[in-house]
Amino acid sequence: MKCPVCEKEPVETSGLCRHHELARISILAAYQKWIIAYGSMDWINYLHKIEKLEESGEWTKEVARHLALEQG
Amino acid sequence: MPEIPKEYDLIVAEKPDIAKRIAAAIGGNQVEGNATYILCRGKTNYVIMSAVGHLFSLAPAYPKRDIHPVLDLHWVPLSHVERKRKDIDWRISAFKSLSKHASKLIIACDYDLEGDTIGYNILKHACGAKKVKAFRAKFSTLTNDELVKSFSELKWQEEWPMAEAGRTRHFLDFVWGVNLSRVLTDSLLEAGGRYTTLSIGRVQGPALNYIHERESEIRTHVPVPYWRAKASINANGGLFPADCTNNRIEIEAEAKSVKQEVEGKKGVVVEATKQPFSTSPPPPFNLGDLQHEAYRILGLTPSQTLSIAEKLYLQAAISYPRTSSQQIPSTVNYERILDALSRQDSFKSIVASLMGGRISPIQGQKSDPAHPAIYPTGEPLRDTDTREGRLYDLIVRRFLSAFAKSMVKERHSLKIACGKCEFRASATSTISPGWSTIYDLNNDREAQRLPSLKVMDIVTFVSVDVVQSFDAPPSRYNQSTLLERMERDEIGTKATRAEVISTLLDRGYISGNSLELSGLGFAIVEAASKYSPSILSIEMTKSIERKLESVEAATLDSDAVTLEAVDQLLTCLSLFEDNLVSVGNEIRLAATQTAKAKETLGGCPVCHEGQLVLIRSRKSGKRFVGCSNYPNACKASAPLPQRGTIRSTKYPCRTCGWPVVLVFTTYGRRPWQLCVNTDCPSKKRTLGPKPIGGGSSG
Repeated sequence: MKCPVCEKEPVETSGLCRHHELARISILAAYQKWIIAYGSMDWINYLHKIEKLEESGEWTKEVARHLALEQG
Repeated sequence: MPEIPKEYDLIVAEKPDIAKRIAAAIGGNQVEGNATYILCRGKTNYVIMSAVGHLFSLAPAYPKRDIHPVLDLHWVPLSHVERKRKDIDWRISAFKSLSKHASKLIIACDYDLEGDTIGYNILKHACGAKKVKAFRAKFSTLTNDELVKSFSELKWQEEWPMAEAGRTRHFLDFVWGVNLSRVLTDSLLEAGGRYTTLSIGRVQGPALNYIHERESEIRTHVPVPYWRAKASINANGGLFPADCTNNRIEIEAEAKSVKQEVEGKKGVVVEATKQPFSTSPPPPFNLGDLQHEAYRILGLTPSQTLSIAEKLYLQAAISYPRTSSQQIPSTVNYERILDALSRQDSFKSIVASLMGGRISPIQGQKSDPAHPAIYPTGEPLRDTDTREGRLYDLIVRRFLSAFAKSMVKERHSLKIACGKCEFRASATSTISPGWSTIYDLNNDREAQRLPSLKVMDIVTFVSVDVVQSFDAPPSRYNQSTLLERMERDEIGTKATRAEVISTLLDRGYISGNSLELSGLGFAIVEAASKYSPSILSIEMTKSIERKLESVEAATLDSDAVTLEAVDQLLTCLSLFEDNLVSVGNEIRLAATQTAKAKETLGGCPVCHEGQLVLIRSRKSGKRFVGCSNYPNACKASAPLPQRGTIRSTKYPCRTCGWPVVLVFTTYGRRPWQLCVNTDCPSKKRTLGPKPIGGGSSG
């Protein structure tokens, strides 16, 4: 099975490649800060927001898009 | 060629321009010769013979290419390695024959690692000295006065620790470069990839790793929101801005409550200070500082700066540029230099303004036993409206500012409280500009002045804006900041760091002004970190650098350093070789994409679908530009120059829309900029291509 984002070899249990797994970890770590900042934040809404921000990294945007699609 | 006298001293110069200057300084008008100078001073005859930089190079002792790793090296004439060099062999022969009858041998190469290595190799390999002994001339500028002085104070030299360190460095760079490049290239071929020149070395590895770390941070960055509250405050009828002292409010609700609590309310001044402070002039330039400032102010890359600075040195306009020192000792005749600069129109008024300033220049912290900081000699520059002229101007201004008075400023600060919230306003004004009128280091604009308020004065918060921001990702390195990082971590030398960055760009590992890591760069670093991580290790590189410095200081034997470094290399190599196919698989795809990207010159202006790519004809072997959409009927094509290296500029001609390329024909010369369209209307106006900077491309 390849990384669903870029089709490279997956290296982690999440099925993502090394680069996208790093981005996934960063996304998870920042989610708590967003919840604190706004009082509450829906996970899908959060993913959509970081996907659109110009400050977000390229891999972050790709993983955010992938996770949002995965969650329907 | 004029007749060689029976008795003479032989002077070995590093470059023809330097030989000419030495000849003029020592012999005055009584100089004969062109490539070899024969002259007489007092009762002594001199013959000056010049090298052209290195005359000897390292080469494998066994010519067979299948012996690996390559560790057995010997010094051979450079012409054996670079076959096109026609200016090497006759010079070696001339040194050989001239040294036989010379009474004295005087090495007058640059006084540094490379200069000593050049001189030592000539004595050892051209003059056939069994035990290398010679007189050494030491100078930091090519002015007549200093050259004459250096030849009157020659030092007898039997030990050559600088040359030893230089030769060891050459050896280590060669064996690391050649063996690691071979194993990378082999891995690619083993994995079914096509031949591509790949490299990684003991300095390249850590430098590339810096960019990899930064690029990973940027690409995985997740911005976190925060807010800042900015107020507009009314005092005595005038408005001034102030920021909430908590300049990073991490909860939206808190940010909104600041606005509610403060807007339209009265505030009280709880702190009012006016603090003068002075800033000393920046120290004179060492090479690193010059490279940073030339990048910031003139947009020159570190390698361009080094190359221009060397030209200025050869013109005797500045002192030797490859120096770490930020200090100009009192032995440098400041008065004479200031006097000479006061006779140059551009600096006349500046020198006059220094009256009452410092008697001696301000000194920096860093020193260099071989050379002082970079300073102008006072010799005027002929053409000032060039890149040389602009760099010279920067060096002179920095030198002159070192004599100027400190800059004095005043920081005015107010703290205003309103309920639980505190706001701060600050402004800086210049009391005395001092050196900043000569050399503007800060480029900062002065903020709006604040009203004169005292503690307990009452003000009104007219409005409060709550501004939402998101954490920005870290900035990419540029050539200047990467150089700074390499300096800080002490990897590479002042002379080689810029070259390492250029190699990373040439290989296609990084690109752009903000150095972005390419797919190939990622693949190389990740393959190295997986299979042979010590190649990327700063500690290992730094440890070798320190030991080479000890060799230079004659406190460590070069063999010990060589053995240790070769041992480390063999470990790296064996780890790679054990995983050759896996390494190749990691790199192959990225290498193919990078090679294709290098050959793609830009979008096709004819079909607007394909890409114009560099193609080599199978029939004639000639290269040309053709559209990638050719099988689908686009016949756009154009011939290309058959000599030189072609690189895409990634931008189209402003006249016809075809790609503009750079053609590099001669090493070290500026490339030609060329629109590949032979029918481009812009070519009807000018004959032939224009050099970069010579005008628009189309």
